[in-house]
Amino acid sequence: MKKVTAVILIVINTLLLTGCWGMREINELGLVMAVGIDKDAGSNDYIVTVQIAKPTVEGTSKVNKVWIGTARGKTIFDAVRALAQISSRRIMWAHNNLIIIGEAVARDGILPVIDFFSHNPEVRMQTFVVVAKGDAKQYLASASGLDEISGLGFREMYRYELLTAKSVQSNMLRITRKYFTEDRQPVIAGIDFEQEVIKAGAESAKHEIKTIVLGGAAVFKGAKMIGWLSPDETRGLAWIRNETATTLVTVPAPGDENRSVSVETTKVKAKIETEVNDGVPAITIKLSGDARIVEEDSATDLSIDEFKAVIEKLVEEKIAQMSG
Amino acid sequence: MENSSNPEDFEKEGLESQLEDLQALSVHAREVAQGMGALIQSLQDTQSVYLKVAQNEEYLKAKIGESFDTNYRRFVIPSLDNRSALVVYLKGLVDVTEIDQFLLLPLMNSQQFPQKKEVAGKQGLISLLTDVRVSISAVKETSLWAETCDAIMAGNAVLFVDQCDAALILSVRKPEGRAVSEPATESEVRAPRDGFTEKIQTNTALIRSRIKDHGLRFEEFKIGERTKTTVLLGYIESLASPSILDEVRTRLKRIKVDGVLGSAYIEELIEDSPFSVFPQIDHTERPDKASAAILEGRIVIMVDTTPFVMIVPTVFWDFLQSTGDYYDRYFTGTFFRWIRFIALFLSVSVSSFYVLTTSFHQEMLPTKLILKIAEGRVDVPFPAFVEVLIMEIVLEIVKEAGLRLPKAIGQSVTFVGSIIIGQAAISAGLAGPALIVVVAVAAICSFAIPSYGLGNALRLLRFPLLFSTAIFGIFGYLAGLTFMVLHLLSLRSFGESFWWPLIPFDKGGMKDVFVRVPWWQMVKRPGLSHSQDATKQPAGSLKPGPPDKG
Repeated sequence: MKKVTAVILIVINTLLLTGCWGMREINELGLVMAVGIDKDAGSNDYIVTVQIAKPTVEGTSKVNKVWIGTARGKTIFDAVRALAQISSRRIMWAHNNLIIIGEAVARDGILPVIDFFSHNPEVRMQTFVVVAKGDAKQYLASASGLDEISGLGFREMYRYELLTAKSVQSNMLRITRKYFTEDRQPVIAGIDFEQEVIKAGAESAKHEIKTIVLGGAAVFKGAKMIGWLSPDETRGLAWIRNETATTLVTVPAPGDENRSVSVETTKVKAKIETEVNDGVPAITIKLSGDARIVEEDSATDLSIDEFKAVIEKLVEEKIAQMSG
Repeated sequence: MENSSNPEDFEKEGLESQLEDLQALSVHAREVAQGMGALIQSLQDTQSVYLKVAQNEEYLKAKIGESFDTNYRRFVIPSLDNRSALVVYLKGLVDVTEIDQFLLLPLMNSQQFPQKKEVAGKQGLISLLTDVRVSISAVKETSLWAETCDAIMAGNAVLFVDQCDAALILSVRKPEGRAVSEPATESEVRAPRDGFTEKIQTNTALIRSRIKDHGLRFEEFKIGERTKTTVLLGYIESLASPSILDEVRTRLKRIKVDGVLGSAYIEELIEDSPFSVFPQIDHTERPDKASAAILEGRIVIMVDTTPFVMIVPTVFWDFLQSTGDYYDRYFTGTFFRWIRFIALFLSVSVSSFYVLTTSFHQEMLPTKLILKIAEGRVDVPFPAFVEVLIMEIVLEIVKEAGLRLPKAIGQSVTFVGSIIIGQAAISAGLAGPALIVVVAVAAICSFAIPSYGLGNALRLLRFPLLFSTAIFGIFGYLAGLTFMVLHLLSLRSFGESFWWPLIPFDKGGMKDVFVRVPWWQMVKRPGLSHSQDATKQPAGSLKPGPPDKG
C-alpha cells in the first residue's frame, strides 16, 4: 500500500513539476502581420520593422488595430531579438503574411533574408515576399486594400493578382527553390505607392494615406537584384514561364484608333526552342493560346470572321511586343 | 552479533506460528458458524405449515409481525363443519374487493358442497376448496413456511384452513403503479408512444404484444436477499445464443446482495469491466427497442420496479444508435448517425482542442480567427486552460441544477443560467466569446448522444483530457485520446467484442453501423448474437417497386 502511494505521489509530482510545457497564451503573443527589412547604408545595420496585430475589444474601432515596431541589428536575427526590447509581447511569426524587402537590401543580396526566414520554424513557406521601391518600413505604416490590418489586406491582393498577372506570385518557397536551382533565377513582386492620391472628404485628407500598388517585379541574379520589370514586362515573363491563367490584352479598334478592343487570353502555352548557330545561341519562344473578345468600344462594318482575324493579328503583335 | 540475534529470531518465529494458528482457528470458527446458519435456514425453509389455524397465526405474527398494513382475518367455513380459517395479506398490495368477493363470500356461504366427500384428509381439502369454492384463477398450494411468507411479502393473500397442513397462495395483487406513458428519456418523433413502467408484468405484456413468437421466454430470477426483486431474462429460445444465455445466468446467479432497487444495481454486478467509465450494457425505456434486440437474438434483462430494461450483449455502436434511425427514411437515418459520430468526438475533445490551439499551436488556426479569439481574450487574465475549466465547471453546475428541479423551473434555470452566466462571464473578463461557443458546443454535443450513460462518460472524460492537454500540449492531447481509444478497444460485453462488427470485421454487420441500410437489405440476423437462425428474411426479393407493366 505504501509503495502504491509512493508511486502515485511521484507520478503526480512529476506531472506538476513539468508545469505547462511550451504553453504560451494567445494574450502574450504579438502576432506579426507583416515585416519589412531595410538596410542602413551608413552603419550597414539591418533595420527590421514589424507590423503586429493589436487585438482590441469589440466596439472600440477608433483604436489602431496594428502596432508598428522597429529595431536594428548587425544581422536580421540580431534586429529581431532587439525587437523584444520594445515589444511587450513575445513575437510570433506563424501568422506573418508578408515579407517586404527594401530595395537597398535586395540590391545588396537577399541571402540573409532567405536564410533567416527559411530557418525560422514559425514562418510559413507560403509567406508572400515583395521588394519595395525605396524603404520597406514606410509601406508597413501605410494602408492597402480595404482591410484595417494592411498585412492581411496584402494577402488578398496577392490572391487577386492572378487576374492581371502584372506581378508575380512570389512566396518564400518559390524564391528559395528558384534561388537554389541552376536554370532559373528568382523574380520577386514589386510594390510601389500609387501616384494619384484620392482625397475623399475632409477626414481622409487629414492623414493622407498613400495606397500601395502591387505591380512589376524585381529581377535577381543569384541573390542580388539587378533591375525592375515594368508591369507589362512582368506579364510577358509570366506568359513565357507558363504562369498565367487568364490575362487581358487591349488593342486599338480596327478603323478607329481612339477606341479599343479588350481580349481575354486563356490557355496561353509557351514553347521554348533553343539552337546554336555558328556558336551563337538562338532562342525561339512560341506562344499559343485561346482568346475571347470581352469588350469592344466601337462598331465596325466588318463581318465577325473578318473582325476576329484583324483582332487576332493585332493581339499577336501586341503580345510579341510585350514579351519581347 | 549472531549469538545474540538467534534466540530473538527463534522467539519471533514461535510467536508468528502461534498467530497463524489463531488466524486459522478463527477462519475455521467462521466456517462452522456459517454452516450452522445455513443448517438453521434450511431447517426453517423446510418447516411446514401447522395443522391448527391458531398455531399458524401465532407463527406468522412472530415472523412477519403485526404492522400497520398486515391483515389477519379469521372466519369460519360453514360448509366445512364450521372449521375456522385464516386469510393473511398486506393491505395496499392486495386487491381487497377481490378477496371479499371471490374468497370470503363463497367460503362463508353456508351452502353445502355439491358432492360431499370425505374431507378430513389433509391435502385433499385445499384442492377441494380450489375446485369448487375459490373463484380466483392464479392460486398455488404450498406447505412450506418460507414460500408462504415470501408470497405474503410479495403481495399475495394466503389462506389457512384448520386441520390442513397446506396453505393456499392467492395471487390477487392490485395493479398499482402508473399507467403506460411516453418514455421520458428516449423521445422519438415517428415511433410508438408507449414506454416501460415500474411494473414488470406491464413490461412483459408490452413486449408480448409486439412479439407473438412461441419461443419468447421470460426466465425468472429472484435477486436481493431482502428485496427479493424479480429479474427476468427475456429472449427467443430459437434465436438467442445458448452460450451467452448461460453466461448471463451464471452472472445473475452469483449476485448476493441485500437489495436491488434499479437496473443499475444489476448492471454494475454483471458488467465485464467494473473499472471503466464507459457503460457496457445498453438500457432502454422503449419496448420497441427491447423487442428489436430480442429479435436480433439478444437477451433483455428486466428488473421489477424499474422502467429500464438492459440489453446484452451490447456493442459500442448501440449507444450511438437511436430507434428513430429505423423509423426515419434510411438516408436521414444514416445522416443523423454521422452527426452523432461527430458529436461524440466534439463532446470529448472540443474544449481541449481550444486550449491546444490558443495556448500551444496558434499557428494552426486561420489568421483572421486567431485575431478574433485574441480580441475576445484581451481582458481575460487567466490562461486558456483555467478559462475553460471555470466555464466547464459552471456549465456542469447549471446542468446539474436544472436536472434536479421541477421540469418547468429546470428549463428556465438552464436557459437563463447558461445565457446570463455566459454573457456575464464575457463582460466580467472571465472568458472570451469564442470559449463560450466551444463550451456550449461541447455540452450540446454530449446531449446529442442517444445514450445518457455514454454522454455522461464523455462529459467526465473531457476533464482528464483537458488536464493532459494543458500540461503536455499536443502530446498530451493525442496521448489522452489514444488512451481513451485503447481503453474502449479493450472492453468486452459478456465475452463478446464490444466493437463488433468493426472488430472483428463482419461485412454483414456493417450494414447497420455507419449506414442504416433499408429493411429489404437486412437479410441476415446480426452475427454478434451467434444466432441459431441466421436468416431474417428471404434475400433480394423484398425490394419494393412499381408493378411490372411489361
